[in-house]
Amino acid sequence: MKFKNVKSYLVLHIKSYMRSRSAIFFQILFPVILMLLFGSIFSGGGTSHTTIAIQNMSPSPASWSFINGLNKSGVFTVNIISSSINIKNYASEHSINSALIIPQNFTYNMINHKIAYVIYYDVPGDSTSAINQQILQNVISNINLHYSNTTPVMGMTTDPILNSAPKTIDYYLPGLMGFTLLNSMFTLLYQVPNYKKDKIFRQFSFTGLTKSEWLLGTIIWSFLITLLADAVLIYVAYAAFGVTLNVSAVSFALSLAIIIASIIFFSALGILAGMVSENEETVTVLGNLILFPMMFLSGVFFPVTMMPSYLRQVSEFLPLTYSVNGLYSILIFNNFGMALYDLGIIIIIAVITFVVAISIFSWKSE
Amino acid sequence: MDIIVVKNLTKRYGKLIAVDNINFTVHKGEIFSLLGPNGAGKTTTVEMMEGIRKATTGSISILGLDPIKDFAKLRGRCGILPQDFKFIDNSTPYDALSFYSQVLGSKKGVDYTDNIDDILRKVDLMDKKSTSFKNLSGGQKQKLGLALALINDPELLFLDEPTTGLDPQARRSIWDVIREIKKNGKTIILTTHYLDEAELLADRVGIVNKGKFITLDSPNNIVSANHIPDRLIIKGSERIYSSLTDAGYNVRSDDGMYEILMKNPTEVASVFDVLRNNNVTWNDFFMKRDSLEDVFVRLVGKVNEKGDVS
Repeated sequence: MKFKNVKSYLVLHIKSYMRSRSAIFFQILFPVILMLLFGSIFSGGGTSHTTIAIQNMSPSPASWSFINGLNKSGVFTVNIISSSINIKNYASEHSINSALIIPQNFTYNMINHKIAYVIYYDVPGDSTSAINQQILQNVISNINLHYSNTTPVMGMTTDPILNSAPKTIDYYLPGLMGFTLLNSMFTLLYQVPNYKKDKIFRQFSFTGLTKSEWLLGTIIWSFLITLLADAVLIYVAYAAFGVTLNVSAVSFALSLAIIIASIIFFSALGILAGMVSENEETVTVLGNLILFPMMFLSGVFFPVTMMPSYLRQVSEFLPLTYSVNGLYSILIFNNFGMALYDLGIIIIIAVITFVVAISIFSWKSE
Repeated sequence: MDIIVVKNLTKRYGKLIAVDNINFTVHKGEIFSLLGPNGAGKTTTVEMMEGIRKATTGSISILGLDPIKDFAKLRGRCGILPQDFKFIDNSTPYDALSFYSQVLGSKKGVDYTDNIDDILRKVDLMDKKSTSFKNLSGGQKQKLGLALALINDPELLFLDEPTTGLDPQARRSIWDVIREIKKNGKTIILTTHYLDEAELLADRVGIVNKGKFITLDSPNNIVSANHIPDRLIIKGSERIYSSLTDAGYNVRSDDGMYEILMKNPTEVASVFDVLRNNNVTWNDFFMKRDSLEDVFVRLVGKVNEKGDVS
């Protein structure tokens, strides 16, 4: 193997790549767009607001105190409506998901030490329904404590497990870095059948470039473009959302090792998938078959721990799970032992896949 | 001196015999053309010589080396323009030549990068050196293929259907480059289904059909050996036909044109004497001599633009 030849191929490939705007978009900008999207949704720090229509049929200091408690919760925007209106119709006509009636006997029951019920209307399928009910219960509990002249006997304070408490966006970053690892597979998944069809591999063989020189050039390229994509991703996550990562020489070296081993695996997988792809339709189908399970079940967008047990079992068979878990252990938990375990698994499957791919990949196809 | 020696070469794909026990040699400095319709076995033969296809039986010697075993050694000494040449869509002629010159040069420890501008000028691609491959015309793509085959100044060139699908101007332009290469003493293997191309460029032509050589010689010798006598063609009235047949000539009539086989050139005067004596007038006349195309059509059949026997 001549490294001069590897460098020559690398230069040819980089120059061609720089002329492809779509490749730059999908490999560099698309993960950034996903990061900005997730960052905006989950790391904005904003509180969700629900408009609640309240019909107070029993005006009294007690009922207004209860309404005031809801208003102060910061969750509800209180909308008082006239007692002559049908509250369910009103909520429906104004697309309001929460409504509350304070019935006429509310104050009377309170004064007479009977349970004073309020009636809450909501849309059970709405994602905020459970949270709203919980806040209502809290306000009611506080009022109960106040009127019964008692103080709570039990409480709870929170303290982060990690010294620097990670933000939600910190959890998404390793997943999106895992997503950029798939680039190496997609590059080869499309390149191998195209080069086969156009006989470009044969063209390379006329120059004396060997299969291993081409492959090494391709893997180095995938490594460089993934590093660039990840660097841009980390910079945007830091600049836009103040992401915090565990940075040390060991965490850097381990992250690089996971990225390199993953790229070798995904490159080999791309060669294998590209070899069995006979046309562009097959490439698209195969690409989706590989991409979607890994994207949704490997912890790229949703934590694996959120999934039901049968999906967690499926995710254990997906190589990207180990890449994402490894990066997650290093960058969030500083857990190098766990990361080494994930790295070991990636290295084993990378070696097996690489040996199979390189042994059946034909350079001078007959 | 023989640059290529092919002995008893056969290539089978299952029951199909693509190349059937052929033998030939190619001399240093000549253009040797394999001429035949699509599916005749030309490209299979050339690809076996290039070392990218294994022969079923037989042997090939290229510059004294085995094309399969010595594949790497031959890369520095051969240039190849394959059929339907394509390259990476987003690369430019300059990038491609630069890549070729560096990788081919690394074998011999030389750098061919200095040759790039000369080669680009030779194939008339200097003004397109920074254009992406996908934006080049068909002729420009073939010229790039030719430039890549020439970058390491090879002793032997394989040009497989170099002008297929090109317009007449682009074809002539490629022919000029091939003539220029020959002037520099290079040996060229040229496969084509264009008869005019073979006749114009080749020193020797092997006509191939169904995996076998039908004939192998210089274009002139092939025509001489297979031609039919010269013919006098006269345009005019039907009386030409009756007058000449009455005088004992063998006349073939075809839509107002009358074709008379000449045993020797002096017969032409006798034919016009007969017509004059019978007061028969004519509109036009000309002599027809067999070309390589006529011989080819007689031996193989008529070949359409795509190279298929029609």
